[in-house]
Amino acid sequence: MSASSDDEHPYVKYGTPLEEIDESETKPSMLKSNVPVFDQIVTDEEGRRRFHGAFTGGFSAGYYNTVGTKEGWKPSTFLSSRSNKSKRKTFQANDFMDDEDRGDFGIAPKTLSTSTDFTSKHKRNAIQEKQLNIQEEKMTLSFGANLLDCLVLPMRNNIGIKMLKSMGWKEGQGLGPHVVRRKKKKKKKSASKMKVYGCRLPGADDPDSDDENIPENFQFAPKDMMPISILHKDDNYGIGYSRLDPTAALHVKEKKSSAVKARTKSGSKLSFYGQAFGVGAYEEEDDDIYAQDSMSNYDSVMSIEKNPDNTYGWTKPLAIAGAGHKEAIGYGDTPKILFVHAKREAKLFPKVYPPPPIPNDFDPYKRMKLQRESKRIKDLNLTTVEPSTVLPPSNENQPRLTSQDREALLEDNKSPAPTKKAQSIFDFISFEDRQRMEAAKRKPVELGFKGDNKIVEQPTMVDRSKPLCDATSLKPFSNNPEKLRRYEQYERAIRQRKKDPYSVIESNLTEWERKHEQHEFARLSQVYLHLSTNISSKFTKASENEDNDSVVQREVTEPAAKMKMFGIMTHDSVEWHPDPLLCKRFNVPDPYPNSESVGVSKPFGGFKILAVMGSSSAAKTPDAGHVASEEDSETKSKTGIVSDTKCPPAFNKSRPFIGGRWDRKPVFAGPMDKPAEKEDEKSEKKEDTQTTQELEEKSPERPPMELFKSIFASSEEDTSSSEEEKEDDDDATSDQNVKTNEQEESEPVIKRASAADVFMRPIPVKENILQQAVNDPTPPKESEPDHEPMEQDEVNEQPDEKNGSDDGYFGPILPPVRPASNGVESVDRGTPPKHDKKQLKHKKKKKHEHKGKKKKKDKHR
Amino acid sequence: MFPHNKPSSKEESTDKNDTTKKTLLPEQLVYTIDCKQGAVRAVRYNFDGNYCLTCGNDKTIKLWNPKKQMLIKKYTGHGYDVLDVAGSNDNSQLASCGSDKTVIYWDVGSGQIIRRFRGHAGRINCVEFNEESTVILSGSVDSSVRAWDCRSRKSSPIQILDEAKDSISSLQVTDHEILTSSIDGKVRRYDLRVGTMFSDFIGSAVTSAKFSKDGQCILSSAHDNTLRLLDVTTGEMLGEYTGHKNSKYMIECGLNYKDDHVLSGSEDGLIYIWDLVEGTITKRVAVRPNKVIHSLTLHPEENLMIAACEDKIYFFTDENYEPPDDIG
Repeated sequence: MSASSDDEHPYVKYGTPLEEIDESETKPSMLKSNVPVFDQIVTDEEGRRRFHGAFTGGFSAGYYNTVGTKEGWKPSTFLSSRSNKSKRKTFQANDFMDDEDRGDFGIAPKTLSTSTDFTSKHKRNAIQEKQLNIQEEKMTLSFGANLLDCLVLPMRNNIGIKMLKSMGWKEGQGLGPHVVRRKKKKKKKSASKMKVYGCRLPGADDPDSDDENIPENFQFAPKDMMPISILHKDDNYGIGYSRLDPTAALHVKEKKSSAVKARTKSGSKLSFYGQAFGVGAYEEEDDDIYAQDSMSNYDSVMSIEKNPDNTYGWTKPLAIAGAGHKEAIGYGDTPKILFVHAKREAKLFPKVYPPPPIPNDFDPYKRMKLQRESKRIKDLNLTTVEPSTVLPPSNENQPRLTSQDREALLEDNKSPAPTKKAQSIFDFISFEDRQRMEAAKRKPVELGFKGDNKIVEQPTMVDRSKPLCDATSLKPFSNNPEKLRRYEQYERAIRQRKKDPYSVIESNLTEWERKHEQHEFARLSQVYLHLSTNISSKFTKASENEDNDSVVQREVTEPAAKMKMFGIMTHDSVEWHPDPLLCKRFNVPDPYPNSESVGVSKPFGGFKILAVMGSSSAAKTPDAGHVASEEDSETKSKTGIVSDTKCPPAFNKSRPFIGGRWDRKPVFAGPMDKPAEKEDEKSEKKEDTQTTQELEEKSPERPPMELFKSIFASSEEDTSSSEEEKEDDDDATSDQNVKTNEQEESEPVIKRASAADVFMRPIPVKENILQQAVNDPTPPKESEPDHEPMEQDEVNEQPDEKNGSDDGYFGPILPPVRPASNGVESVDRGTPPKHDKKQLKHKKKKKHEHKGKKKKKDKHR
Repeated sequence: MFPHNKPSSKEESTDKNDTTKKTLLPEQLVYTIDCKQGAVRAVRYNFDGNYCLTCGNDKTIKLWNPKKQMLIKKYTGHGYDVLDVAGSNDNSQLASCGSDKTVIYWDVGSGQIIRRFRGHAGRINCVEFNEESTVILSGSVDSSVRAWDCRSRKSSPIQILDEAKDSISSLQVTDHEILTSSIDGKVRRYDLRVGTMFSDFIGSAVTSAKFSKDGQCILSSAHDNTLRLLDVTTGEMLGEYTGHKNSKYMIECGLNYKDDHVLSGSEDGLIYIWDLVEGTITKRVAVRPNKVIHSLTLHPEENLMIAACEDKIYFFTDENYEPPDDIG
């Protein structure tokens, strides 16, 4: 500011003038300034070297760029004693920081500084941010108008915000009292579309509402609203119009990503985004420093793509794609000649291959001619047409045949020759040629066929009575029975779960053929087994020839079920082979260890003879039956009482841990014996029986009952037939126990009457079984071995059953009180009505009590 | 009074003799839970009766602690309604099935799907574990029961029981028997020990079949508004229970833990309880008028019953029931 005292210069000087430089002094100073770059060192306040350069480790660190302290790096030793256990040291970022880092400008400054609330950098919430963005945008458009407002931000909140905050308002919340959020409206549309099974619900239609997690009556702050930013309109454009964004012109809008792209060996694309190295964790992320600017970011062509029609008076270069063949713009040798039309055609067209040359003798109208020929033949009604005119005879040895000969050979006498029309091309082929064609067709199929021309077989006539496509013909190799047989064998082997299913097949094929076939079968079987299991479960035959089973069900079981005659009529059992693995998983021994099939194999007859014969219906299979009889005898020998013969032994064995639950008692436990009730029922039943007697003759349902009885009786032994009847009586009485309907009650009585009719002519058992066996789908061979042990059982159990048969209800047979005599039984049967009433009296009694009653009854007699 | 431990046969016999003593029935409604999973398709006690599971219309299964009325976990993964669920004997796995034709084998703790068995051609109505929880059996509308192996990685079933002529409505598995009921009107019992399939013709569509505790009787509920108690071995009818309404829906039945009463839901909003022996209606428990009570499950050892009706499940117990101390 001071003017120089010298008046050498006519102008005023400001500031202090620089000292004149002495030549002598400059030398060393010049030298100093001329320190080469590699010797220039930056030091910190303590004189430590600050920077090391990019490749020597960055900033100064430690003690003069050594490690640790003045003494050097002190390794910490691990010390742990019983009294002073070493704690697991957890390092924090601070442990690795230098003083510099803790300084004012370091990463973790330790000095006091203004908190972010009071700096201009304070965090803004999303809405504020948006608002600001709008303002900024506006500002960039109207350069500088409110720029100052944007740059200068208030240091502290205004009084309104302060007041709101003191009232409990928080940033991000809206203003106003807290409200209970309304539940979402039910989406009725989607609900109506939903499939609903079972009963429909009123509130079942919002399956995925999150509201259920929110407790009721929970209050929320109202949602914040975006304040309307009122901006100054300072231009003359229409409302809503904005000019071109100047920023858009300056920046490349879509930056190409600097991702490294690669391809793996397998061909899938790999790309790496982001910055790999070079940017520290605490540094602010730089712009994409590895971004590569490519020429594609720039317009290299003057707006050809953008407005291709605008050629600005230039001769439009024709089709950029085809630019090669027309020298649109001259370069190189002929720079002066521009836009010259090409003199020669370009060779860029794909090479055109001409169609194959048509042979000279090709006659495109051959077919027409042929037809014309046939027409001519028809018109002329020629009887002898030389086949050789159409097709030359191939075999000279063969005698030529006339059409009559052919007719004779083909046995085609049905249609008279004159009216016969040429239906296909085959009509014009000579018979022997046709023969050969037939043979040729069969040749690859029939392995045994020998291609001998002399052997002319009679073509097998197609059986036209059969439908062309039968369900059963949907098998592979249906045209090759030999192969089909082999395939069926293979399939059977698969079903039997053989390890090497193909090995069972015997054939005279070569090794190679076998291998080939095995492969073929393996693939086929997958398809066909899948089809048979999956498709067959979805479809059922429209007309299935009724097997014995379904007939029995329709005629016997259904009416029986309707009449509530549950038992032998409705009960059925079938041999069923569980999968060995299933047995293993169930921890049950495989009942058919040597079985090759799985599932239900053969249905037993509609009526279980054995179930009637033997007491144990579980004893279906020979071994199971054996077990049953063994067990029975065991129990007998041990206790002296036959316990529960109707119960299969499997039950007793199976659940020993349940113990007491297995005996039948709990089922019948409870208030069975109520004397008052008993009296009531006695009188009731008396009436019932009277009414039923009356109804007996009128019943329309007599025939089916007879049918049951006839079948029923036929499968009985002489001795057991009476017994069975007794059981039926029991059925009837016990049915009455349950029934409330009077009409229903009448039916069992009818049954008994009809049964007596049937029993007029008893049939010996053995014969019967044989008869039954003939009728049954099961071979007699199977039923007979079953039968033998059963009979034994029967003999053993007879007295027990007789005791049981006196009993009022079904269930288990009671242990014998004393051996009952058969004579009594027969007498009982002989006098049905009287006995009936007596029996009915005993209907509702408990087992043990019943025994006592029975004794009394016996005494009466 | 309240039997907390397994009643031995001796206890039962003393009960029987004591005619004056009234058998306690789960007839008192204790509480209701709104499952919030749409229609509750089925409710099931787990193996020991400490937990219960509900299957919802909203494709979820929920695991509850019925005593504390607490939701423990929600299992999502089915594509459609879940129609049945079963717990394994160690409570560590679940098996569920539904309209999406899949059987899902769940891990209880994590809620993860262990396996997903596909193969049924139709909606799967019922699912059960075997006694050792190594096999899952599922019965479907495609009229087959499939046995899925939990132990191997095989995706195909061990065996397909396709004897039924119509869809399978219910399933029960004991240590060596598989009891199925079918809409074709038959109850089939597959005995693995004997290697025989026993079938009993009921006549009308059977919606539910249950073994009695002793395994000697089968309780079947059919669409002719009748429940029947059949002898396992002979197929004879031991009892018939009528009075309720069941002609439209799949309504489940059950026997109480003492096996002396028969219970069934009904289409008229009541639960009917019959005396097993006499066949008379002992009690009608009103749940929700004119609604269908389709699913009910009985506690294996206590006098507790849970019934499902629409979106809620209802807990019933006898009058002597004392809620546990640690409730809430």
